[in-house]
Amino acid sequence: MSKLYISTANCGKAHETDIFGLCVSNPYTATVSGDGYIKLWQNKLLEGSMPKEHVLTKFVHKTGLHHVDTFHSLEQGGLEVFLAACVSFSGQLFLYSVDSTTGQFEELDLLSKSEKLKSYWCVKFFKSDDRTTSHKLVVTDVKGGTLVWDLNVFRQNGQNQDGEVPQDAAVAGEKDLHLVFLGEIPATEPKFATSVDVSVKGTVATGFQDGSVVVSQLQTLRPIYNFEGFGIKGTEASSGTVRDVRFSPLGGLLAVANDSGSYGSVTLYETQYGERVGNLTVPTHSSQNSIASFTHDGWVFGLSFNSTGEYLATCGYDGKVRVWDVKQRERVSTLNISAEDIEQEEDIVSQDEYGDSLKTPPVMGVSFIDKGVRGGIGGDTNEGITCVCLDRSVRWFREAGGV
Amino acid sequence: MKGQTSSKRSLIDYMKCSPTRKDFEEALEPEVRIIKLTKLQKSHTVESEIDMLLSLAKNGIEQHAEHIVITLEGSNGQVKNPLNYPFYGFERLQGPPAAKSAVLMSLMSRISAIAKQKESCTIRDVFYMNVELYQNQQIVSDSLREIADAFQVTDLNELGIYAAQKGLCFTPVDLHFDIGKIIIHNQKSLVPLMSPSVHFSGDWLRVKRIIVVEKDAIFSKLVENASVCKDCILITGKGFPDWLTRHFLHKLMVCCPPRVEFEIYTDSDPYGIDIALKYTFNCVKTEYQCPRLTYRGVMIQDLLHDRNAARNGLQLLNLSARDFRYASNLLARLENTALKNSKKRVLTRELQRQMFYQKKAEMNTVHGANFAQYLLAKSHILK
Repeated sequence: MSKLYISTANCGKAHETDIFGLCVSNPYTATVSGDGYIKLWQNKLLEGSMPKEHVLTKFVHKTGLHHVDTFHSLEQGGLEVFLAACVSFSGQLFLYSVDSTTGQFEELDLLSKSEKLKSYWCVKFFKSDDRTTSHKLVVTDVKGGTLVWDLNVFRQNGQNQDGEVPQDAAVAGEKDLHLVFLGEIPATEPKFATSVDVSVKGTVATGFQDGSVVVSQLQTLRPIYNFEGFGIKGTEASSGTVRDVRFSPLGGLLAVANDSGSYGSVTLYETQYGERVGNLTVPTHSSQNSIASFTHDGWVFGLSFNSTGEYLATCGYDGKVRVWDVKQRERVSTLNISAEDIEQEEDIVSQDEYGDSLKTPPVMGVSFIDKGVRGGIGGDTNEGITCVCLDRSVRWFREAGGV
Repeated sequence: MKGQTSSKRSLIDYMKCSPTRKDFEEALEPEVRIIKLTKLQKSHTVESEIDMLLSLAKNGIEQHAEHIVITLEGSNGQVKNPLNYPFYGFERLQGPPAAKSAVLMSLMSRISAIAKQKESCTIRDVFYMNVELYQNQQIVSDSLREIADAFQVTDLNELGIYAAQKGLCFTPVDLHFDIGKIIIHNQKSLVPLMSPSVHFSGDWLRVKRIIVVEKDAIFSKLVENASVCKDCILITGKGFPDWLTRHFLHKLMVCCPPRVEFEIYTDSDPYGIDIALKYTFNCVKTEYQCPRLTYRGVMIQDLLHDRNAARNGLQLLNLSARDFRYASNLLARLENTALKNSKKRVLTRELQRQMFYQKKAEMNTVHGANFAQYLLAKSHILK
């Protein structure tokens, strides 16, 4: 059965240059760009208000930013924590705590001196819903290591906490964000770790430039499975680069996006026994090409499961967002992005300053939006999708029907 | 104590009149002659200055049995480690080795000889005059630079020594420069040696673009393509450009009318971006940069959009760890340069994309390995 998505909001010229990173949390859609800014776009917008009027902006680093993740959690005592982590092209990791009422960014200095010297690439938060296990911060570095920290929101010495009367001020005072370094999952050889994800089952998946994916135990930091890329190889035998890895919400499946020559393929693995389930493919027929199995006619830069794990959204260099029924491994929707569909005409970038066409802009990131996050008509009953494109835009969509 | 009487005294005499070790060492210290290389006086030429210094040194050693100590002033006015020759002292060898003094002396006499013959020669020529002494060309060019700094002359050219020409150029019209010199049209020629106040004149109406390419091979291909080279001046620095090629480009920029476009094409890798930056901007001297130059490719997306690539396999290579580090450092360096923002942005963007995609590509592979086609297609888009 096919699905239909309709555009609810979009914003052209969201950043000065290419947008490389996207993630969605309850209050904000976060984007980072080569212009060095992180922007938090407010999700709940009143009818008729423009995204650009409700955005928090922070300049982070002049070399530009490429990966972003946010962490939003309501902790004990109603303490709201919103963290944003981003990585610059110079390899530094930046952590911010954002106050959603004032919109203030507070830079957190949580890494040790030696940890700051590393050159990082990809960052992910893992939010634990279980009180007994702590939240995690997982970061890959350019030498292929995956570093894991415990993210603690409160001070660790519990005795003090119990003895005192839980006054509001006292609870707030106990907030003490800190990281506890757990260890590093090293790569067997130095190779670029491009992507990482953490599952609720306590496993970490790291994708590499050479096309392999390593799944490791979070508890022991030991590798369990090693997947090699399945796509067709380019003539240089080097074009299998993993662009994104994503666990399904229950951790049963792992989706891997990797290059397949100039195409992009997405492969699903089940995580219990490390078996390959299959590829997501669009039917092709051509007199010149051998029939290729690919997911997008261009590299796949982003993957996102919806909250139930039934659907997977993929996006690629071909300027398309595709939504797949995971069980049937069938395409249920394709969104063709065009530079011209930006609402504000003056914000349309259909050609960049150097004469290159952006009419069908490559899509650099995609994410499902849970029900109730975006607000507006149908926002509470339907899921949505957001994506960032090389025409410097952010687009939000909502599933049609049921309103 | 010292001087003529010293030869008649034996070691025991010295020991008798020097109660301490320090005194003893001082007593044995030979007479020295300090030769300073400092800023060239207005009335002196390099040749006369050097001849004087050399004859001083010669007299000192031959006739007075003195040791010579050469001191050089660096470009920042600080005096470098003095060079002793012949070497003397009690402690273990300190300071530069004696061979360095020999190199310096030999280079100075070479410079003087060149000036006498009213010629000029390349660093490479100088190096081959005495390979055994100089050992490698780097030593020659470093030492020459030291001499130039000490005399406070702006350029090695003023010493009559040039870097070997590396760059190539091709022009559709004759370019006249200096007195009676000419770059002949429609043939490949080395980037010429020029006087500092050079002015190029030619039929500028027939020149539309000045195209700089990174690679020699691409340059040769373009020269053979009539539709490209009929109205373009082509330049290549063969990889990282030497100063002469950069200077040549700068002079062309000054001499040609403003409607002529300056473009540069390099490999789509961090080194290519660095090369483009080197032509456009440097921290040393404005005479070596060409701010009008626009970076036009090869962009990594040109290769990605290339539909033929799907059939032939994608011609992209993985970015290695070294490339990545280089790119990262270059990006930081680029942000700190005083380059115009619009120029900076395109370079930054390309670097970021290369890093994000983790790919690089060679310019040869674009447009089915036909760079001339690519160039023509690209200029078509702009119009």
